[in-house]
Amino acid sequence: MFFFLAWRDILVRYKQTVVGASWVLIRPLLTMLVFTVVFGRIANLPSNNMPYSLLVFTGLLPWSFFSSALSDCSNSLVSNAHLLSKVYFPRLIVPASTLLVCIVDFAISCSLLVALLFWYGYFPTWKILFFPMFTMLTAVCAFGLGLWAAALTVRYRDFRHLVPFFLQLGVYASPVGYATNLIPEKWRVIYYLNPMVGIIDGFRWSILGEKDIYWTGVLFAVCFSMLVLVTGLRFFRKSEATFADVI
Amino acid sequence: MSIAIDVESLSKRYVISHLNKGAQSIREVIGGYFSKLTGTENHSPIDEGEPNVNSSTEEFWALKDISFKVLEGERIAVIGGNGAGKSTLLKILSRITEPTAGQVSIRGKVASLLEVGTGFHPELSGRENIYLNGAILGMPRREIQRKFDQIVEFSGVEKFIDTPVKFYSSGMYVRLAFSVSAWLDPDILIVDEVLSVGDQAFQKKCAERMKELTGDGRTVIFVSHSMATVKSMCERALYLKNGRLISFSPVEEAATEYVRTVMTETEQRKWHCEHFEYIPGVTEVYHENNEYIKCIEGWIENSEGVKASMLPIHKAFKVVVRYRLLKSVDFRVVPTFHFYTEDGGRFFVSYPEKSAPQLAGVYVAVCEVPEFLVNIGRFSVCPVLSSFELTDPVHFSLPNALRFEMMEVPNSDDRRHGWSGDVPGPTRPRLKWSVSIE
Repeated sequence: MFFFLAWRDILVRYKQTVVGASWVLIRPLLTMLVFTVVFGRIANLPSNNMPYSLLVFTGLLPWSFFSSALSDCSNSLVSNAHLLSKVYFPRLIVPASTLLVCIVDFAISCSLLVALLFWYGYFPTWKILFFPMFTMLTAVCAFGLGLWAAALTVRYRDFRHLVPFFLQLGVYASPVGYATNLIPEKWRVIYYLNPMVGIIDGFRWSILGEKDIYWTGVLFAVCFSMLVLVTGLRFFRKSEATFADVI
Repeated sequence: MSIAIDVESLSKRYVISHLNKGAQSIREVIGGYFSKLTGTENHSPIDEGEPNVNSSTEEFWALKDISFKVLEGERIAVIGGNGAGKSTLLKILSRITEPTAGQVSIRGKVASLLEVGTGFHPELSGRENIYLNGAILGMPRREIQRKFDQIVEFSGVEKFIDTPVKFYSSGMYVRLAFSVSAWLDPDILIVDEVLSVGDQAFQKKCAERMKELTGDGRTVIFVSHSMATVKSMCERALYLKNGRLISFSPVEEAATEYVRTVMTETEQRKWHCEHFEYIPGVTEVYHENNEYIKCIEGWIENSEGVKASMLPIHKAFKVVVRYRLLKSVDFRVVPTFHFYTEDGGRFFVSYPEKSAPQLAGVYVAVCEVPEFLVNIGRFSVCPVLSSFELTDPVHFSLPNALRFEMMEVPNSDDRRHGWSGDVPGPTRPRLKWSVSIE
């Protein structure tokens, strides 16, 4: 059933569209273009000696995965309300299959990354071995937050508006369109409280082979993600019983 | 035999909030905490004057202290009026919602059909939806594959199996949806009224399939409003009323008890009106001309002479109207009754055999409607008093003055020949038949 739900969402996603599944590729590509122009050309921010579009894309890849996973997870229960109130199954299946859908999208976007790397003649170093780990870290972080948001959305629909708003702010609060070393040293600690900063740094480090990385930030992201996952799961399980009544 | 379902002092409480419909918003919760902290209550302008300001929520017991045991292979019906708690009970038994108090223990694999086509997605094709719906109802993929052809054949939508279901007619949609559920294979089957889908032929097919399904030693919990269906499929019945278990007895007994209670509760029902009184200037009428005649009252009485609005189809009943002729007249006064079906369509008009010029006084016009003329359903009567010799012929006309419901008591129609569903149409006349071999 877990796979069937994910399969349904993937099938349905691009029905009755002209270019169909190509949207998975077109969207990040266009976003990358916009960010490159705005941050790289117009604002003229430093790119640490690499193509600015590559810098943007390595930030965009984890960010769009995180944001789609978080927003889809948080809406998943409400949009499947008819199922929750009519059939019994472990409720965790719903957000989990949503996450699976996002992972599929992420994998497709990764192929775009490979193409870009080839285009610019960039070849990853041994650090690329950490790529799956950072992917998992993103998934864990998004899923943990998503579980909280999903369970809360069932009761308080306010989260339907809150989550997209935070994600919108998050694009700028995370180093998606710029490099981290733009942030002055004294703000660093506060800046790294956003777990996505550490995660995106990690992605750039592993893909582009950047030399220095603020490991404390990454470590914080790991701890934060584990914490939200564990508490998210517990909260979800606890509130699960009343989903069908209040949804 | 062992016990399949054991329910012990089961209760379910819902908290209804009155002021805000839909989901609770976070502001209210925080506001609530705040007022608790400060010890003050929030008086919003809307609340003012309400006696119990703080309780914008109200507790409601959908089920209260229900206990019963179901043996393996038993077929149990759940009957009761709207809001009796039937659906809540099914939801708890199928684990969709948890009870507030009490214990439920179930042995075996449960499948519940609370609605047909749960999880159907309009964009997906029939084929894809069969797999999806099957998975949601708990069928492994292998099993769906094995039964796929049977499902498609049963639904009769072979031609459109690869078309998105949003292009299906609603009939095709429910047929396909029911077909998936019809091939489930659980130990315990929980069914909410889902048999009433599709056309007559398909309904019959469904009923047969349900019998097949329920035949081979499966435990079945079945909710229905149709006593005939319940009686043909189940052995025992749980009779619920206002969340309480009234009886758990053989289906015949429970059905009779249910029908009887419904009959005595007619006053509470909105549709029913077995008596009307005409007060000039107060009663809203379609037409009144009180020059010659004043209508006094009217009613419906059952075969025992008791005023009633819940009538069994196998007994005759009477429609009566009383009116006062204010002066002796040299034209004829004709009372007529216009019968309407619930949807407002005119069903038939009835009038007396004879009429003559009349003397002043109070008249009682009684029309006896024979048994089996009016089929099950809701009907209304519009009494009309007219004199067709006059240029303005109608003295009085009151649409919807009397409203009644016809119902079928189990075993009252001896012509059913094994058919257990409803007999459609507004009338069920007993015509003379002869069937013989040539």
